[in-house]
Amino acid sequence: MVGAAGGSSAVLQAGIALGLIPSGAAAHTPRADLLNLGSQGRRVVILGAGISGLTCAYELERAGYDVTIIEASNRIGGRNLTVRRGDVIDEMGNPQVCEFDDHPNLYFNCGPARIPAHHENLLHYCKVLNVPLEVFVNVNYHAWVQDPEAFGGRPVRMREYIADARGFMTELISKAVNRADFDAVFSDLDAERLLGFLRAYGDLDENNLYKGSRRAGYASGGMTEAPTLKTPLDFSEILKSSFWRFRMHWGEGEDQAAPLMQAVGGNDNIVKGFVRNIASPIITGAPVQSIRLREDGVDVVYDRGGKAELISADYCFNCIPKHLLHGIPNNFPKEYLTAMANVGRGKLFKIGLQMNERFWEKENIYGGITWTNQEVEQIWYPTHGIHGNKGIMLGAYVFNDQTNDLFARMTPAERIALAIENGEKIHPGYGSHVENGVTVAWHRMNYLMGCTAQWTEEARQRYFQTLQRPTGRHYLIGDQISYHPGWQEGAISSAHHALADLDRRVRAEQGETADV
Amino acid sequence: MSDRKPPTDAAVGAPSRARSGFRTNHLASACRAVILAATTAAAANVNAAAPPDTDITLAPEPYRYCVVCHGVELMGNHAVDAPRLAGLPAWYLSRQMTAFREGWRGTHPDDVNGMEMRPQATVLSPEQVDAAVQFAASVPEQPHQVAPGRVNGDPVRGETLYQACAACHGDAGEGNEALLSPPLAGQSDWYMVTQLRHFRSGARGAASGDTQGAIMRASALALPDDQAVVDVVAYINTLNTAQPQRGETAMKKTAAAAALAAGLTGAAASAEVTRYPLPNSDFPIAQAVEISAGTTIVYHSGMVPRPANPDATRYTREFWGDTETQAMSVFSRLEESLKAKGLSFGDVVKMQVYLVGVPELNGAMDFDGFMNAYRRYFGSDDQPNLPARSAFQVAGLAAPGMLVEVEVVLARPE
Repeated sequence: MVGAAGGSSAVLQAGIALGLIPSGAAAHTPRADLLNLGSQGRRVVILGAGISGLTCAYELERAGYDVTIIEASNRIGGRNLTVRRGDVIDEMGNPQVCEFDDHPNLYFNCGPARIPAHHENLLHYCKVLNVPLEVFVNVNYHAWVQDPEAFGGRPVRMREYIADARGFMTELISKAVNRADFDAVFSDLDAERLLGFLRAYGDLDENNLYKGSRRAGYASGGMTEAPTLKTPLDFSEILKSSFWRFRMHWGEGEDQAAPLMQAVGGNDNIVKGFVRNIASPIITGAPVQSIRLREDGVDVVYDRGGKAELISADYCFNCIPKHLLHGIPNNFPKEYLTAMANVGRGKLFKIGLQMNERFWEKENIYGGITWTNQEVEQIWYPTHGIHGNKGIMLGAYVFNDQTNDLFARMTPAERIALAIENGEKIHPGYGSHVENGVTVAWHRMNYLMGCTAQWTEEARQRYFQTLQRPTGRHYLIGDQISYHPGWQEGAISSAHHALADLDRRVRAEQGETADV
Repeated sequence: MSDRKPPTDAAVGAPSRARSGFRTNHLASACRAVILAATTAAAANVNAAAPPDTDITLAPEPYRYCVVCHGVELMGNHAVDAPRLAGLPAWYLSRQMTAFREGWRGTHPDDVNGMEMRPQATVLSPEQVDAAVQFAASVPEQPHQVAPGRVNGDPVRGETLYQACAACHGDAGEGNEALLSPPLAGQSDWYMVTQLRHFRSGARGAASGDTQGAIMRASALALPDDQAVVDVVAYINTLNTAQPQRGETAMKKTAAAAALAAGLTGAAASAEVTRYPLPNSDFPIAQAVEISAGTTIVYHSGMVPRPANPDATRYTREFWGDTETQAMSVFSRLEESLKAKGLSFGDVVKMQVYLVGVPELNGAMDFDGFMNAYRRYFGSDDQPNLPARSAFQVAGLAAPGMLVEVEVVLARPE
């Protein structure tokens, strides 16, 4: 039932407008502002050269710390991975080499692909590191909605689905507004306004009926000939489609609302920006062999070219995936290990396909996402390189665990074959455009073996603070230790949180020293 | 510092341009790398209470893939569902690589983790598989790295169930190459549970060609229920004498064994234990046993027999043997168990005996048969110490056909 007009949310909104209540944007973690230690710098070892590790290195070396980054794999960036011609996708058991043409527009962001406007710590670094950004189209009303269970499997334009769904919903509600039991909660004026709202929201006619809408796109005409409205879709088919479950509202999500951005030329330009501005050594190809906490520091043994090396540091910042830490000898306290064991290891799969022509642009599609209930779940059209000769399309992005397992157990060729089979249901002739592709099962990628950390509500309550707090002089960091797993902003915020804690300790120590 | 160099863009986001082929002549560098204290100047800071790991087997480059999941020194990692490989013999590792390559393992949709492993095996050439197996088998077993048990089963019930397993895998879970049965002691317990369930469901051991798998599948299906899976694995956990949480006990054991070796056996070693004989009787039990404060008491679980003839039809008289045979088996197993703990029958202060009735005696227990076995261990010149004892007839024991169970309490010699 519709509640009384007004109520607590209206009060809250008014309070924000008057400046009485801070809005969500003000509540983020402040950027690092570390005490500069000058020549008394302490030694810090950073395990993992992902975004959180790079953030720590960048900030710490500017505050006079002696920093070393140790990275197990042969590349820097963690899950921020953009592939171009010749790059290796180091999936366990399924190594692939990217065969895209050598062209600046032909790249695939295997990891983070979009930057929301409120991820201001990440945007801060993009700005100071001189990483140019461009707008990324996340929602495209011209893209398709397809579900084998609805409309006989025929794809329909997203704008048509949404316009008709809203039309039907608002027509139904307007009928209810005229019923007597609404009188109890609505004044006549309220009811009149509500009907006006519904007519506008659903594009109803003066009799509060839905007869189709220009919002769905014309069936024909509209320029030099009179326009013809599309016949509204069958409401029963609209309901059969899974699109309304979350995909229809995707662009309203906290991190999905327009506008979003991407780094020009590939999101790994963020990684390159960090590396250009970090002078500390970043030792790659150096898997960690053991981590031992000491009272006054942390000892890390790592493999450097077949030789075990020991580094004794005053502090350790560690963004190794928590599920891989279990395989590295350590002397972490039991509660720390228990907490780690209670955070799940997520699965995520993507495919990037090189298309010999940008056929989607002939269908009026420029950027954005087509949603399907088939295995691939999503098809993304590149925002960049519009009207170029070729394009790299995202051919699959899977959220469902069973489907992630299904793709993971296939060979790369089988994966691409399934993506083509799915794509043909949306774009006939899809397969004829595919020249080559890369497949990335993040839960099978070397030295990562998961994406993203899976926190249940119970695990959050019981274990999050245990892992967020340092144990001795060891800080676990990364998007895994944030409320935003899978986002670079989560990784950076986690790094900032740990740095702020370190800074408090160091300032306290410095204060003691000064008193002596 | 020699590492101080701004890495070039070429190193960034640009995964190594070509994956060098696996090298098979690389085992030389699998040698155990020992860190010299001089490796870094800061090494002097190392706190003696938490020494760094100075003796670690590093995986040569081609086999780093193995340790990403299976852990440093292949100790296993439950968080990524990767079992312990350290301590497994080359013949078994090799057979499992074959099973993955042939698709006997890692193809059934219910075996998600097997499917994760399979591409690792199929991406390699046969020579590379051999080299990988050699590497894995070369990693020495590090008892301190055996993860503590995770399975909450009933090891007492599990012990009974394990008697069938022991025929192939050995009493101590040591494995048997002649029967192609892998060692079980020390293996990741969660992994054994998963695999037993896979054998039972047919996700493993049902592929044509997998003859060994088929044998194991039949054995797994003989377990009565899923609880039996957990129970038998809980028992296998007890076979691993190097469980880290037992470090202290192990040390005591060593001390006790040393004491025994020094000749402090029998009554002489059982200080502060007073045994009151049965008045006017030569029946070989004590009327009472008194132990003073400060004596370490050991409670031993009930011990049941192993099958006298494992090839016989399961649970028949032929399978288990009669009361005397079963009792002999119980005492022989108990003796082994006590020995492993630095104890002997001379330290037993209390015993409870549970006997099931037999049809030959119209359903009464075969007390004489039991006593024939008992007398060989208690009341002889070699072992004169007698426990306080009770014997009961019970309706049944853990498995059908089982007639004898004995539990004991011991006073550890000082």
